[in-house]
Amino acid sequence: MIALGLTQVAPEVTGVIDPLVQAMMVLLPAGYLMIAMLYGMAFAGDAEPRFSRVRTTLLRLLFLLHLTLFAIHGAEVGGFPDMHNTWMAVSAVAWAVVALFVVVTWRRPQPTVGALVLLNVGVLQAVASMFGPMAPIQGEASDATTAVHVVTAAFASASVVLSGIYGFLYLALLRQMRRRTFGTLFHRLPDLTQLARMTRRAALAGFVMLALGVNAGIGLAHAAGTAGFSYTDPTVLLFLGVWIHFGVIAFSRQIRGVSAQRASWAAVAGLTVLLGTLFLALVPGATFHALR
Amino acid sequence: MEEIDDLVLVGLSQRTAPTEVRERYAVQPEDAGALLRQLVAAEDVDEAVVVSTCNRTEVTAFAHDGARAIERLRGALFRNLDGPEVYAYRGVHAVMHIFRVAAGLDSLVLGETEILGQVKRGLEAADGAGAVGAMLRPLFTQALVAGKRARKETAIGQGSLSVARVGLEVASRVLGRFEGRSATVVGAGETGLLAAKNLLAEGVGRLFLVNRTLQKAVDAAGELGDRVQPIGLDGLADALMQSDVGVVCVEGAADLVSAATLDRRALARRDQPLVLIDLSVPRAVAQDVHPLDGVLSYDLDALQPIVDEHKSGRAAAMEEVGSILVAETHKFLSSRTYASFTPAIEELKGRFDEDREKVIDRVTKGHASARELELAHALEKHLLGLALAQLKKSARYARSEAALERVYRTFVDALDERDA
Repeated sequence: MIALGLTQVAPEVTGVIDPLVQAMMVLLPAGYLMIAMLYGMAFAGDAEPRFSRVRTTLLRLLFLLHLTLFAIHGAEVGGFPDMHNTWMAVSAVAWAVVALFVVVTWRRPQPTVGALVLLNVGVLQAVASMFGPMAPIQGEASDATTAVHVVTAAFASASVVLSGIYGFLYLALLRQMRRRTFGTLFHRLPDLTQLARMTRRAALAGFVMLALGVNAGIGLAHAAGTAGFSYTDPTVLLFLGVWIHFGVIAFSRQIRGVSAQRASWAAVAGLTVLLGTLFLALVPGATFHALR
Repeated sequence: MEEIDDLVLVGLSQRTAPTEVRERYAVQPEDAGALLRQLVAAEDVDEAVVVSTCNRTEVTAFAHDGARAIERLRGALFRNLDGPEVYAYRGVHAVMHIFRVAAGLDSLVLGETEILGQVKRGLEAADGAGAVGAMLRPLFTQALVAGKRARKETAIGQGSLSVARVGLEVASRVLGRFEGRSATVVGAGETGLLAAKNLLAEGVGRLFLVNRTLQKAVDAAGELGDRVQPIGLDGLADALMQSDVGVVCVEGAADLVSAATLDRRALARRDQPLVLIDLSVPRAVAQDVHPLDGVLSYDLDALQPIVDEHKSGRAAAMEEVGSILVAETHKFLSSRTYASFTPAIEELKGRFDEDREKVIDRVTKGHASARELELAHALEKHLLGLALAQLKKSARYARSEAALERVYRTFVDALDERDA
């Protein structure tokens, strides 16, 4: 296996880093929730551009701060951070959602969906911070294949989150239009066609990332010469199921009988399962997943 | 009592009656002539005009006895309806109401332009039936002038302000942009053609124009362009199933589109729901369509909340329109007062002619030259002009504009209170 070439931090430096990490653990969820609130104000109010620059700058700063947290952990183990800690995986998903959102909104801001996206990010990071270790991580650096597996899995999960949020907004707007109540959602959200497109694109990104992630995971299992590895392993089957699920959403436009409404329900179901899995995995002592 | 107090208006509109009531009492264009003739055949009604649109049915009459005329009109047009749905105005209030209607202030969509054409057609129908004369013709002509001024001089007519436009605004929340989409417009009447024009302007790729009389659809399609495909009623179901949005604006075709018209399995297979906008009275899209999966249907009542939002954004323009309407009401009432001087003016003119002859005979001993006669005529004309100008001035000041302004404010406050 190829080790990622980072120099491990000397033990005396960790004494300085530790309080910094602890501050970040508080700052990150608070910051994300504050940005969610700013997006919420833009959603509810008329004068959208009022805080838009502050909001965007703050979001990008937090994104970099979050990345710095992973870099610190990487430095602590002298390579790509060990993601077997569940809190770290949840935090990685939160960061990946922000990364995708920053990329997607770089040229076309989406203040109307930002509130819900950042609220999810804030909650994910708050949970990660609550369960995360306050002490430096004593893990091992991951090899390159593991890094690919982890990064793609994080981005796949982030895509699932975004797809689920867009799907939820689609259903909320559709419900409002069906009930003929033309409220804030009616006026502020993107139209149904646009929301369906966003749901499918996010699902497509998740589909591609999951394909890479699952294959990297299988590669890892083979490389480790896992005696117990099997394609019928429940973990592998679960991920294959999720992969097919998001494939159906991503290509639902081409599948007869799968309307945008059904695709949105599927995306919301995917998000619910993902969040449920992540939070269940936070049971003390559990690891994110391991093939035995 | 003044002559103007015998001017009465009885009616109902979207402000007072829901669609199911309005559709029961709508007067179809083909029935308007007979109704008008029947109204003016009555002893106590001299003139009458009926304005019936998808949002209102109103009859304006000039009668010998205003109070009795209101009862007669109620009985003729709104039998069995004695609740608050029906309103009645007399005198200045009736004038102000007609002007407000023409200006689009009383419309479902504030400032919409279709109403001007509908008022004009009401006047033409009454003219055709021989039901208008010296009172209602100038009144409705002045109303049209007031309506045009309101739209030209204020922001009331700016932006997306027609029922058809509001319908498309709702459809755009499903479809986003209309480019390359397919649409169906049912009805080749004025509202239907306006909807078709709006859809084409938004960039729809294909538009099915469905009409009971195919030839009318063919003619309209010829004017609208290549993207429009004329279809008879038998092709309605197919056209709707191929469309992203359907706008239905027909008269007297209740439940033209029902759940049975639409293919449920095809609806379930659609990616986005079909948006049906029903601008017809009586409603042409049946109630059983609304619960169907794959369809979002809206009638005029359902569009009301969006219309109300437009209204709140136009408060300033409404104030300006109010001032124009007061000025036009003043002008109309002054002209009526001046018209009431007609017998006196005729007498005055006769006296002037008589005195001119007497004076010229006395001065010239019956041998007036052509030059002297010309001079006498010119002098008489000048003096008569001065007298008439004074009369006109008196007519103008018979009512002060400030007093009318107060009447208008009270009238509008009462309307708002009723709506609330």
